[in-house]
Amino acid sequence: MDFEQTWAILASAFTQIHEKQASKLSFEELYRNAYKIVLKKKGDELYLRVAEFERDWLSSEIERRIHKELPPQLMNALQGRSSAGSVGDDQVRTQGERFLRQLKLAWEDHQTCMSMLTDVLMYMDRVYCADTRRPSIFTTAMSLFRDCILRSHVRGDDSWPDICGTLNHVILDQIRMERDGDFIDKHLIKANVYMLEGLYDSHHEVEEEKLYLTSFEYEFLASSAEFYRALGDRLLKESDAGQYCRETRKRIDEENDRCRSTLLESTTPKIQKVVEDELIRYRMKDLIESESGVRFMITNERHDDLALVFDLEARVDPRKPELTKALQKIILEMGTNLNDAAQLGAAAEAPEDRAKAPADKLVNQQTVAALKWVEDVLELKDKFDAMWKQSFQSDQTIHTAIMRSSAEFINSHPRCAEYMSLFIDDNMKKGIKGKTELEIEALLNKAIVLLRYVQEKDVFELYYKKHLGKRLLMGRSLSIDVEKQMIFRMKMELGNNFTAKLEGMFKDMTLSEELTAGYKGYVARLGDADPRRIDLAINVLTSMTWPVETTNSAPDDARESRLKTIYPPAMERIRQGFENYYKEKYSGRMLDWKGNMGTVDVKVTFPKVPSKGFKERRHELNVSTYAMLILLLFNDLPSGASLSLEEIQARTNIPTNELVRNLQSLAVAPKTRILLKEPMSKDVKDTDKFFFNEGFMGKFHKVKIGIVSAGNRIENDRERVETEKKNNDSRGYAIEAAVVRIMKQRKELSHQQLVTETITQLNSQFKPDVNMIKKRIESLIEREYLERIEDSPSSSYRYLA
Amino acid sequence: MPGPVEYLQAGLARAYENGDFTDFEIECGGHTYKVHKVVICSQSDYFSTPCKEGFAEGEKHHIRLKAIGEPGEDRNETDGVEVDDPGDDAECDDPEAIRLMIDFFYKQDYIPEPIERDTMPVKEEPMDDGWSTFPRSKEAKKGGKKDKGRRSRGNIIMHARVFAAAEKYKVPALRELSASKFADAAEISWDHTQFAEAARIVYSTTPDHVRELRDTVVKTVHDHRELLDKLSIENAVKDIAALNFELLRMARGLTPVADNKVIDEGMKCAECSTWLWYEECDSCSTEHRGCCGSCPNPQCPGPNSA
Repeated sequence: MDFEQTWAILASAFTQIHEKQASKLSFEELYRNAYKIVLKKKGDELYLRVAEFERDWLSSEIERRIHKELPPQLMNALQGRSSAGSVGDDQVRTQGERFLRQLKLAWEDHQTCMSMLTDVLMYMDRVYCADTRRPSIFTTAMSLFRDCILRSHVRGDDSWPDICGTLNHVILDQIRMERDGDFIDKHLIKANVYMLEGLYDSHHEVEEEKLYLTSFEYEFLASSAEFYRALGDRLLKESDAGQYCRETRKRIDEENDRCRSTLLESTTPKIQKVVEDELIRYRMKDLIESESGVRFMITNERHDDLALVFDLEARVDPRKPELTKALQKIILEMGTNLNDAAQLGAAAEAPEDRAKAPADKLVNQQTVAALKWVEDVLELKDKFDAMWKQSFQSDQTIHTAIMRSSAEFINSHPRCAEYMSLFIDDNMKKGIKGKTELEIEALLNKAIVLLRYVQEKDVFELYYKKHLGKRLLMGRSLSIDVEKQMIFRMKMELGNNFTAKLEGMFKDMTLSEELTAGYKGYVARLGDADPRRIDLAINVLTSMTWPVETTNSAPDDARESRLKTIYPPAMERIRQGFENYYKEKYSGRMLDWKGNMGTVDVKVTFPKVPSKGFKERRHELNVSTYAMLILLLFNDLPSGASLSLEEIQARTNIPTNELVRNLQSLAVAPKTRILLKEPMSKDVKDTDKFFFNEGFMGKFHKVKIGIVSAGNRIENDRERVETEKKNNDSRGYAIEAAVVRIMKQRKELSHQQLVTETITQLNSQFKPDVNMIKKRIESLIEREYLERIEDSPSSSYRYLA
Repeated sequence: MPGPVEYLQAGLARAYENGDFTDFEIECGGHTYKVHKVVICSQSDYFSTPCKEGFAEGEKHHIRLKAIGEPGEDRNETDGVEVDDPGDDAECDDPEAIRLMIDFFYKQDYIPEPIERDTMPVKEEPMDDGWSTFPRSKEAKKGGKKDKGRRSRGNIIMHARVFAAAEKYKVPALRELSASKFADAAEISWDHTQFAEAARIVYSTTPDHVRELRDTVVKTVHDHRELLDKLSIENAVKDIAALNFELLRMARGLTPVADNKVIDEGMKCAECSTWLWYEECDSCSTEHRGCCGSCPNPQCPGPNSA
């Protein structure tokens, strides 16, 4: 076989294939000749010849065609791309497109021809290449395209970029135009991108060495970063934050589209990261803190913009640190403002009003401020909850942030627990009037949600007990049903322990009703149908369940409280009668009568006062038990006679503070002045004399004589000190109990661990003070519950059984 | 009862016999076979190119496979010189082998025309050589019954030719079948006069690395020492250098072809002085690697070149 002869046949056919004349060629003949060469062991030479043929073809004919499309003007424009004038821009663009088209054509032709050659040379590929582990002739030819075309320098001048570099420039230039709003031929670019994707940087055909990655993508990402950095600068300066977000979203979407339509999808995550870095990650802080940033959006309820901010930051960091931080700061600020306003509202009117308004009025204003505070807090919470749902996709991280900062500012208000309880109290007494079940439901929910934030649950319990007690005893609750629902919710939220005593209070109320009814029946059965007999309604309160104020007298009249109140005989009889009845039912129980808690309806006849033209008038007065005792004293007094405070006290044994308070409401309050006082002044002194006011004139038959500080309102400072003291005491017990529980179980424990565990145990009730824990431990050591372990390196304790 | 595959085969064979729906023609040695592109392309990688557009065959839906001894159109009319020597047409086809190949496309089997028994006295082999029970052609079946004695040795030359066609036209299934038919025939007809001719065909129509038939030939000559006394075998072995060398290796108790060929043209490892082996290079994956990891390929960017 003559190799040259056979090769000549193939070579001339190859030329024809490249010139697109293949349809005249006999495939059979070409295959047979190629087969023959391989059969005659000349595959090696054939392979080299084909490669040489292709190299010649590419670097003469094709290179020439492509270089023709690179006029100096285009090259210059590409070299100093930024300085390309707007006039030449259009021309440069057209030239760039022509270059792209030519390159695309060359590449596609090359592929078509090479696949035909591959068909012809199949036997060589299968046998010779497989045998000697050479790359297929197609692969080799593709590398040749890279080496002969893409790596060739325009006009053979090394100072110009090679074709590949030029291609990058042209594509990037086109992308720049598109980013600026021009239309470009996406398919044309995509064709060239496919070429870069089909070629490798070297003869290692590994994924990472695709030309697209090594040559183009890197430059694309770098130039994009530059572009978006500048854009970010400009947008921050020129647009508001909302626009910035919208623009960023648009750009991200555009880049996605670009990857799909013009480049490769594999670039999508990378370019996204670039845009995200430049427009979001590095800018988020500035954006959020900018004048039109998150604070502005929140103030102006720009929910869509907030959603955008959220969306953007969520892209770069699932924890959304900047937005979270900003939100926390803003909530804290808004909350602190509320706190300040509440304090101001409580204090502001005090100085100017003090002169004319009684101290009571001031307290009432403070109560109003307290209620307003709670409502403001709720409103703030609602606002952020709505925002959380609407703008932040109910995101967990954001939720935690809102919760945390809300809890922080709520608890930073020293009287939050009291205010919350007052708020519920107010609603129970007035707020739920005329509300539908659903509205009440929502209200209860809100109350519970707020309660969740309060750290000092024990303080809240204390106040709630106190407020609830008053509501129950004075019948001020609009709906016992709603009260019970509230308790039920608290139980769900805070557990049995928290509500046990509250439920006990309700139980007492029910029992008391039964007792009252039972006693009535008991009296009726006695047959003693005295029409003048006094009706008795009784509430029996379990002493540990009810708040201390209601069951015990204040500590400062401890001495007086030991004195028994003196009841007139008619009263005393009933008292005895009930006690007998009660003891029959529950033997061994002590009844302690609370004069300060009860009320009595008294019928009073006021005589004629001819000087004023008054006729005889009858009134039914609703007064406290103590007030009744006082009034009864005047029954036996001749008209015009007086009693001094000291005398009244001596005959009734009413504790001084209660007495003063009752006398104030009987003799000082202008509308219910049943008694006259001498001298007439607001304060009640020991030596003051009191007369029956025969000239009392009431508009209604029934007159309710309120006792000062009857309703639930904010505590005054003295009361608060007391409450705090009480609370500290009960906390002390709770701490001691916890410490003993822990030590009993662990036997020995270091100080640090003990403190930590104690705090953990008590956390659901309140946040224990470390110093207090320390003191309690000391006290337990003194009382020999614990002892110090002497030779321990860190201070530790042992439990003494 | 025939299954779905049998029905399909029967249907294909019928379409071929009747020339139904054919869309392509294969011509060889004066015969033209009307065939279906989908049938031939599904079994041979070669035919997909002439069946599609691009070359002249695609335009005409006709391919002419050059037969042995035929004057080719290869000769350039301009130079007008006959360069092909008539004996050098191993790359051309035997028309009968092409017919059998196309038969195979449609019937998944082929039966060569029987050849006359040679005159040498051989013990009658009761053994079946695989093709006499060919099931699908009734004609063949009938003939098989009639001429059983004469045909039982098969046609070893034709098997070699069919194998060559299967190799050239990339029909893997036919290649396997013909190789096994060849082996069967060689086992029975090793003393047939045609064996020498078959050996020549095997060594000239396929490249060196195609071992199936070559291994059978070497083994047969090696196993039957009396063959070496025959003139036809002597001439053939003398002519075929590769067969010569392979027999030598067999005689020395080696395999016909070495598993690892030593590159012994001065290629010794500079470090450990052992011969370098053919092996895949980890770095350039195309060339050879030395015993201690150094690649002799100067272009290899491998671990040592850094």
